[in-house]
Amino acid sequence: MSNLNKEMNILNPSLRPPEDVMRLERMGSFHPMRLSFSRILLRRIASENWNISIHEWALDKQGFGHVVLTAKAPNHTYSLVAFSHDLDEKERSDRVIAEKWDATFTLFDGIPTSDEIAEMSQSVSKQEAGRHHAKQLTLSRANKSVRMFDHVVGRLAEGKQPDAEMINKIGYIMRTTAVYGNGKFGIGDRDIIMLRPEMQAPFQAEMLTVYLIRMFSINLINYLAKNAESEEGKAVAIAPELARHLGIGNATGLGMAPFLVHHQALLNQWMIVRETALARVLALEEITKDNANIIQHYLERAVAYTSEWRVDDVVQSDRISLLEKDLSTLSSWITPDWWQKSRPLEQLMEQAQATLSFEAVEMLVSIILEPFGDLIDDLTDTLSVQEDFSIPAKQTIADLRAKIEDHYSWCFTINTDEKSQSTLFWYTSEAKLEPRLGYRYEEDGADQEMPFDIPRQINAIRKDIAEVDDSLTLAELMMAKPQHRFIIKRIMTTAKYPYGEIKDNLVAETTRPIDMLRCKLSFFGASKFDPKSILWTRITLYQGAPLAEELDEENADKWLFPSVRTN
Amino acid sequence: MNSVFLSRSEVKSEVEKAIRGSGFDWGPAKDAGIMAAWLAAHDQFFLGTILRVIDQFDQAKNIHDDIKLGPTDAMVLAEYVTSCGQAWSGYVIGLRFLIAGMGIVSKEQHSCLVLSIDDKVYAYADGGNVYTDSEITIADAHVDLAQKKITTLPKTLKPLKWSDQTAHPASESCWKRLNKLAWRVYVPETEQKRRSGAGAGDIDNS
Repeated sequence: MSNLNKEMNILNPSLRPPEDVMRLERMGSFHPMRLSFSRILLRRIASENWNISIHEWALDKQGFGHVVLTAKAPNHTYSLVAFSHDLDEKERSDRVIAEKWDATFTLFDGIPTSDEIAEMSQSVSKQEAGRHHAKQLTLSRANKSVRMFDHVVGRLAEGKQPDAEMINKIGYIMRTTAVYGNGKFGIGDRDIIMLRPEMQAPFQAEMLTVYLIRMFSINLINYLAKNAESEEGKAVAIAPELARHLGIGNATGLGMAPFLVHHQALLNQWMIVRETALARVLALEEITKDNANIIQHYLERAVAYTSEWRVDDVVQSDRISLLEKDLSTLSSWITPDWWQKSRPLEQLMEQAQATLSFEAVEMLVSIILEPFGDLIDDLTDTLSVQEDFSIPAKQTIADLRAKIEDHYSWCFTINTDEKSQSTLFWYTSEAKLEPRLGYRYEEDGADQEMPFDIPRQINAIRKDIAEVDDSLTLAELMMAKPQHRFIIKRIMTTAKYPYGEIKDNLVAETTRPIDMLRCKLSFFGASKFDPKSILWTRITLYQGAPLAEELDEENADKWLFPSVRTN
Repeated sequence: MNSVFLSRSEVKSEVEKAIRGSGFDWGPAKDAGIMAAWLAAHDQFFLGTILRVIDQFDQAKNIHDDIKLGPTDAMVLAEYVTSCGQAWSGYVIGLRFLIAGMGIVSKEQHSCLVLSIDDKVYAYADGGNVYTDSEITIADAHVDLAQKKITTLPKTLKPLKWSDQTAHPASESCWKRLNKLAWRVYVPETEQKRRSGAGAGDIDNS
């Protein structure tokens, strides 16, 4: 176990164990929280008083052209370069495999010259099909939600505000279909920026990109409304309280899921930070009335948010119905003196764990973390980690056996020879090189599957080393049997980072990949999960968040569970 | 020769896929990607070696047991010597990958590794600092790899420094060949899959 992890366990002996936390059903019930990456970014922007502004607005009257928005951090400036395109209705598609979009974006390191903008105007619009520059830190694209977009622009042009309920329900006027970072298609590697304080937490370049896309989209509707007004001075700008509830939508598919399998150390850090934050809060002997009031406030917001959270997916819809009942139960426990008990949050959580659904318990986690920034925000410094590439191969077969027993006993009862335990296979599709899920016994391609069949590999190596001498080193084993290197490395990594392995069979018939997406997206700070199948979901980022021009330390952290009703 | 400028992330990912697509297991394929990115980060060529090793593997499939392939075996070799403390002798194809493996393992496991050819020190790694003939002119050789601390380095060895380049040039034609080899791990798209992915069925619906 790493020093950091040891320290966290010493400080917080009562972390929920990986066996409870690293289950897909629980991970698929996570909600955004104050340690989510979008929250971390906005806190920093506010505390460091970044200057975010429109650097260049070069759109024609129809809104086509380019725009440069700059975000000036203390030591670096980042620019969102947005290209707005005239897209034929027939070509608008939310598929990641689409080839044209209403707008394409890149986050540029610094402020681009006109030559650089001219060059990017050719490459950025091509997205995956283009070659990009290392000064570009992200690459993204978005489509308009046409019904919403037209409604908002139309109303503003008439001097009226758009329908608040519609804004609340849909939550965005543009939705992205991908936000690429870390070296994809020639853009800059993450290690170019990872030592900058503002980029140390995970996905900060991506989160900044989306925040600036949101700013672009809001400015775009005001601009188009002004151009569409029937008489001079008639149009109005969107009211801040409505604009605040316009986030950025996203359609997220399987592309996100393999990240959680490939990056064990990172997944461990995210999980252990969340669990450590929870443990610190639960260990409080007492809380103040003010903090109790904050918890009650966010519980009320959660109730309002959940009452508006409506989806077509039957499973999620049932979960939301149960969540509404559970929140009602939870609210009944918040009596006037609930907070005066000894270790009140621990008691509340124990009661919840014993009786409420995963959705409700994990929502409670988000709620009770909210007032305690002073106690937990420092943990965000440990969300990133340098992953090891090598194995301490001096360890022996006996060590390996012990680690398998300690961390992978959940695999022992899985009969990987049963069809239902090997129904699925994960692969990369030729179409835009996107991850996909196949049915092993019905489709071709299993020979190229990604190595996500962890229980099968665990059972295979157990069988292979059954007769091997205890004293043989792993180095000797891998020299003789390189086919086991992948799973040996995984076992060694899990032993060091115990929250880095999902403890479910990812190729079983019953696997719901949507749970992996939900987990990762909750760390991004996404809200309004709207699963469209077990393979993809709609979400919204930054709905309810302060606008760039109003963001300060007072409001940076007050937008959990957004609803126009609780604005 | 036309060049393409690559990120280290692309190098890692594409080399891993190309090696995997050639029939190697996932563990060695991932090692190859990691070491190729390390070489790129130190302004060292990697593409030629990868293509040559894949060609040889494609033709022969079973390389003789006494021969180690740098891209797929070097990390394990460096770990082996570090962990058991015994020297290893043998023939290595793609020596620069062994130097990358030495650099990575010596850094993560705080070891000192010496690579000798004909009893002369050719490369040395000490806690991640790597010294070698800066051009790494020898492609393949019979080598001795040992764990040993050297206090006075031979003057012929120069430090291999982390590049300050943010993008790494490579031959466009070689890169395209690698892309083609990586393509072997992809599965053709079916219409059913196309219909079930993210955003499926949407033109605009809200």
